[in-house]
Amino acid sequence: MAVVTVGSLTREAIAFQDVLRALPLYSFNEVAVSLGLNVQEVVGEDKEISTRRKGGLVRGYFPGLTPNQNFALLGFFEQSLKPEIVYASFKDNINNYREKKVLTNAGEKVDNKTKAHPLEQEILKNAALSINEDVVFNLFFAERGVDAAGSVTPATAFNGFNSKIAALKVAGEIAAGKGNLVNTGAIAAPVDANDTAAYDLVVTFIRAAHPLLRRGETELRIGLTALSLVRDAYKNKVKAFNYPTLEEVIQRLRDDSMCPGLVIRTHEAYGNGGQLMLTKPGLFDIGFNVESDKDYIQVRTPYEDPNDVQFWGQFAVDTRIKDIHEKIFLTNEVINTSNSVLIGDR
Amino acid sequence: MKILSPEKFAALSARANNWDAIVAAVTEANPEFDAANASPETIAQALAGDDDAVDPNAQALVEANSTIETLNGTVSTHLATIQSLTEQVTALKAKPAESTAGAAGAAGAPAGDPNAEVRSSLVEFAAENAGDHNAIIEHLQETGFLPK
Repeated sequence: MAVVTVGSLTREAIAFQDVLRALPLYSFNEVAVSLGLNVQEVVGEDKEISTRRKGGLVRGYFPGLTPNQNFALLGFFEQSLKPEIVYASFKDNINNYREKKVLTNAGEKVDNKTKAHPLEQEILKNAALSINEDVVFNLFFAERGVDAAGSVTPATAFNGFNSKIAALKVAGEIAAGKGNLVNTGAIAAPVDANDTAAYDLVVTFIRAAHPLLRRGETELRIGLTALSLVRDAYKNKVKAFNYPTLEEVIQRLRDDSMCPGLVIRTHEAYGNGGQLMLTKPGLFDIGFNVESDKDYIQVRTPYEDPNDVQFWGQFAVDTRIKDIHEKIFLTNEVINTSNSVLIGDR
Repeated sequence: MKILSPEKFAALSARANNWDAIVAAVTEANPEFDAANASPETIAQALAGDDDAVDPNAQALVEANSTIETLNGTVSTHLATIQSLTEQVTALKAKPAESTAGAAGAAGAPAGDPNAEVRSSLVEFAAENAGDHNAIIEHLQETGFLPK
């Protein structure tokens, strides 16, 4: 078996760049499909401008009338997607990888095919996937800067969706008065066999949406735990009937909330709690850029100890909610907490 | 007693008049000419003018042109080197070099590496499809490098 050396690892890192650059998209794709997010590579900045039409224009005509309607027909709502550089740097010792024979990878059994891949490639792949996973699990929770303790973490590396929502709330663009915010309270576990509050809360939330939002395909983003609580509450609702499947719960939600095209979007990266987002498809963008960074993953040996290597990963990422008009977007006041404990395997 | 004969006097007077005419002409052409100390040499120098004088500005210009020509040559050499290296890089990116005994292999793997073929497979595919991340991901999944 070939031994992993500093030389073989650094050589592989250079040769493997084109492969490694594809891994952010691989990592983002899974969560994007589950949560209905768009993933796109952005060089520099991408601006999305939504129009707002003025309504109520038509009047009855009478000879000799004086037309006196003065206003702008169109208003504009602009949202920017401007990936900012994030990085990961860590020091490792090459002796941690000598003479290792990989049989499983993060619990997945490595078959004869995958076992053929050199350990250097596996090391680099896992370095990239770990970096990407930090981003995935903070897509909603990250806020660029420092946290309350003054520390920098994956959650302070870039601006996630919730930070964009918070900014829009501060700006008054997401507000009860705008029709795109409904106060629901938290989704709680049923306290007894008659408690159906969690199910009723979601029905009430969806019913509060603009009629045009409930028409056609509509996506409800809800955390996995919250969805389980809704299902538990629904079981209480129909306790005298068949034990309901999740699909039956969702079908009943469609009927009760008058939202026939309702689709549930959920993923661990959405976090825990009662945060709800009801939207039309295609509103959420993840922008990233690895092409502009010549070496997405670098392996360097800047240390006095020649067995020490430095991994340096760098790319740019940002998130965007294209539009928050009440006809296509509704959320509640609750903010989920991150599932960051799920990041990594140890 | 006559020192000069009338003929001799007339001839000398004529020559003196000619000299005065020459000095006057030179003085008219060049007002700065010192007519009082005129001599055949100064007349000759005045007639020759400044054509042979060394102009310091002209000399600097010649030196500057020479420097420019030298630098142009250097730039041309460097441009040729850059073009040559760019072509080499393009060729290397297009297809990694074949592995040879004792030398680094296709993907930078040392010769004799038992995994050289696998290394080359992924690296070559990614190089051929650089930028097409979806195609690369699909290939990585097909080869078992990434789970589906």
